[in-house]
Amino acid sequence: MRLIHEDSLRFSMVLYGILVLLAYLLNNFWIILAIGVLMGVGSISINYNLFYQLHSSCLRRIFSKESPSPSKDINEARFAGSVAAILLFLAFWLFYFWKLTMLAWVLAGLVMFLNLLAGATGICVGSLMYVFFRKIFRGKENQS
Amino acid sequence: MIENNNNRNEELLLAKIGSKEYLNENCWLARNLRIPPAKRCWYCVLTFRNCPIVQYLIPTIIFLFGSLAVLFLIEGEVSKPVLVIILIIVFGYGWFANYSTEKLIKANFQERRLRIELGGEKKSLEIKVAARTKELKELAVTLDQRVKERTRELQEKMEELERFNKLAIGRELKMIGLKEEIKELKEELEKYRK
Repeated sequence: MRLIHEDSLRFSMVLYGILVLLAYLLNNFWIILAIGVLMGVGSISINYNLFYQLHSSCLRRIFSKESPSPSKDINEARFAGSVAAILLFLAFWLFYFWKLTMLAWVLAGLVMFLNLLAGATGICVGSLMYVFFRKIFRGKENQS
Repeated sequence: MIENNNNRNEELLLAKIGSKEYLNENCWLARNLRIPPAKRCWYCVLTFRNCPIVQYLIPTIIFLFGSLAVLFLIEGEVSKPVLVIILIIVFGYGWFANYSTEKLIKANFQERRLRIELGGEKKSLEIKVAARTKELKELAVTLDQRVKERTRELQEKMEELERFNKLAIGRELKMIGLKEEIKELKEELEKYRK
């Protein structure tokens, strides 16, 4: 199990949430698509998560006095990032092809809320879902 | 015995606490997931209902969606500045709530660890004091026995001395008597010679 820095991940989540909010304020769905791409690429490999790398390699070294050891399972972060990216792509798809603007913004708003919640309080719903699914599938594997 | 087991359990718990292996059995969520849901849960012993973050989250969600619903019902739409202000308030408060909760939980953990360490120190001190008290008691008992033994020896020596003294004095008296008898006999012999 590879571990990553939780504070850097939370920083990236807050930035993604703020960017979605910015997209809503500017009423620009192309920003949503861009965030979706960033999150999707970031969930493929943590090395491509720009905001994580920005905090992990630059900001934490500048501002943080103590460097805590990595504590978050990378698979949890990848799962949560993938779900968020899928929701953002879905929002863009709803807006671009079906013109369901309200529903699209509700989906984007949900992603923003969950990202900001995870960033501000550390309660990552995606991580909890990952753990929950893993428990279910491991239980089934053990049974079989 | 029960107290020892409790202390042992507490020490085992303290060894795990502060790491990902620690599982707060009091928390419904952690117990069901079999992992600590967040980093602050590595130190937590609270129940799910008493978790400060849950206590923050429920009113926050109610406040957020309630205020959005009220605004939507009154004005027919939610203006963007109002939405931003609500979000800043909610998540700003959430960040501070989370920060202070983490600090509180860590402080509580430190206090608990100190209390257990102090308890352990007290116990070792009590064991040392008990051992020294036992040693002193044994020493007191042996000292008493030794005093009695020495007293008996002294008494025996005294008796022996008394016996010797009596014997010596009796002999001396007899010698004095014999000397007087010799003296009387010598005087009688002198009289017969004259």
